[in-house]
Amino acid sequence: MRKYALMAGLFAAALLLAALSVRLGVADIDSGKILKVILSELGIISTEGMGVSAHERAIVWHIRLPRTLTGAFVGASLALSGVMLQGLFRNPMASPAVVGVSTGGALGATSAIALGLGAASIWAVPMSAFAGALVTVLLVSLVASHKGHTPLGALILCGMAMNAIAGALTTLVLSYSVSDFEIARQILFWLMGSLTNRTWEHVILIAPFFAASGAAAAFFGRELNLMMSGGEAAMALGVNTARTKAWVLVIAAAAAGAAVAVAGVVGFVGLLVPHIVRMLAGPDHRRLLPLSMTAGAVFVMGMDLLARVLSPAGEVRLGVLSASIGGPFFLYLIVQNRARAESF
Amino acid sequence: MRLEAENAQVELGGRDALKGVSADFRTGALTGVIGANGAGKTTLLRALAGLAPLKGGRIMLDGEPIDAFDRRETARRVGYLAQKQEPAFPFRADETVMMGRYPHQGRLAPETEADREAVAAALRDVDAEDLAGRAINELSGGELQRVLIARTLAAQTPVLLLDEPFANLDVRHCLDILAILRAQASGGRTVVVSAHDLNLAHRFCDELLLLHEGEVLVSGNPRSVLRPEFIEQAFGVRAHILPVNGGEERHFILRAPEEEE
Repeated sequence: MRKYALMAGLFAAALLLAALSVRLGVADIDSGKILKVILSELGIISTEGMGVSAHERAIVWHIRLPRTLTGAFVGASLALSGVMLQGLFRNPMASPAVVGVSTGGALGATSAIALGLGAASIWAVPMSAFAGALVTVLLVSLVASHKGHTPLGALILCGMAMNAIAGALTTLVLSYSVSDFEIARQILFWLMGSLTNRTWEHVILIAPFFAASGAAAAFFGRELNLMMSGGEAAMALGVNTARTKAWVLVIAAAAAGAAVAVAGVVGFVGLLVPHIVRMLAGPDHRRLLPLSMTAGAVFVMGMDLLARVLSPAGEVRLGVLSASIGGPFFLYLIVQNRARAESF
Repeated sequence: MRLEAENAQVELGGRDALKGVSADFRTGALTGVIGANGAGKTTLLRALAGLAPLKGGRIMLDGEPIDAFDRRETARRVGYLAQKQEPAFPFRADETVMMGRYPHQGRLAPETEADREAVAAALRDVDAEDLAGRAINELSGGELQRVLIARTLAAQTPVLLLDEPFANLDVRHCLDILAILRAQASGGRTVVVSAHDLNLAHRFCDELLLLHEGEVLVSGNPRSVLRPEFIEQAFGVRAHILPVNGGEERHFILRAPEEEE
């Protein structure tokens, strides 16, 4: 029973937060109107003469809904990426950031903004971020591999080195751009991580990556459980560890890369959420994967909602809030669980 | 299932860990692999499990080279338990044993009745039914070892390879595990165990393979292998054999040569 209670609770929380996220904002649009807008946009009803203004329709359909959905997908993708990498590395410190997804994505996005590509197409910055994230992960795994084997320790060290390199290059791009105030501003805002002004394009960009990586991840629940016994034990039990490693890296990089592409650098979700879910639900990845995805969506939607309530003008950004609230909460959990700390 | 090593050579860190080992492991026999530290026991078992890439030679399973099988197919035929301690995460013991069923399970398929029966039987075999619901990270070393042996048994492979499975066990559980392995061999499996204790190896094994510096020094029935001259060459110790039970059994007293002079 407890098995399903957690999933049901998280799912209910996700729905509630999504509803609140669409409902709350500077313009007070009641729930009836919101429902009418959504149903009419889906072609189910017609709103003619129903008293919904074009302005209200635009706020619901073109501002709040895409923002909410983007947030849910970003959170779910980052948590999915984190839980898979933590399982693969058998290490609670692993997160999308460890293998270079965040810094690689940041470098891609920063370069695109600095080159002025952002004005050319709405896809330019997210696609560059995605490419940056994937190229970095690919480089990390190539450098870390030797004769077809990829020792996990080498992967972490290469990830650290690549993070340092990409971070330095990002700073370089940023310092060359400082003279152009508008560009520097855009870069900084992107690096802060946010869901402000997210449109359906962002939803369309992340949704297929999330769906594909979520579906692919479902095939690796048992393998990830077995990998936690160590590479050789997993092999002896029948796991093709090289193939599993490659798939897990690709899935984790695609999910987190897409998240970074649409929301910028939102730190801590990929580390914190899987960790908390692991504490609550145990080590079985067949449960951890769906639970973490739902919890990730809850976390990011909740943080974004809080950010909007705290500062309607958007100064308190999602990335800032997720780290400044997530960090202390994480520390609290570590202290609470100190006795069981070795149980990951 | 017949398991053979044909001139198996393995290189480890630039050193020849196995320099051409040939051996035939009989179906229905419990074979003990003995030898000093670094003689190549672990490497041989890993090679037999298809886990150590060969530099030369072959490992044959019923006449087919083991590298003709993929990992899943190999794991349905050969069960292997390493000596090295595994990290223990808070999986329950029965969940851990169920992991042994992996090579028999479909990708997204749920656990079958056959899986559950195999897990229950394996836990019963190692006398660990009472541990089933406990988290393995909270078990003692010996309890964990029994659970891991159960995981190996749960795969119901015709070949069982266990590297020093007694390392964390007290005398009683050590003897119990040997009795289980004996029973598995009598049931028609090919069982290979590496061991340090010559007395136990002599008492429980049908065949012994004595390794020395990556080569087979001698193999055959325990009496013919555990002769003082071979023991001295392989381990650098003097062996004195005490007949027990009117010569039915033997006890080995081992001394360093310096001790004797």
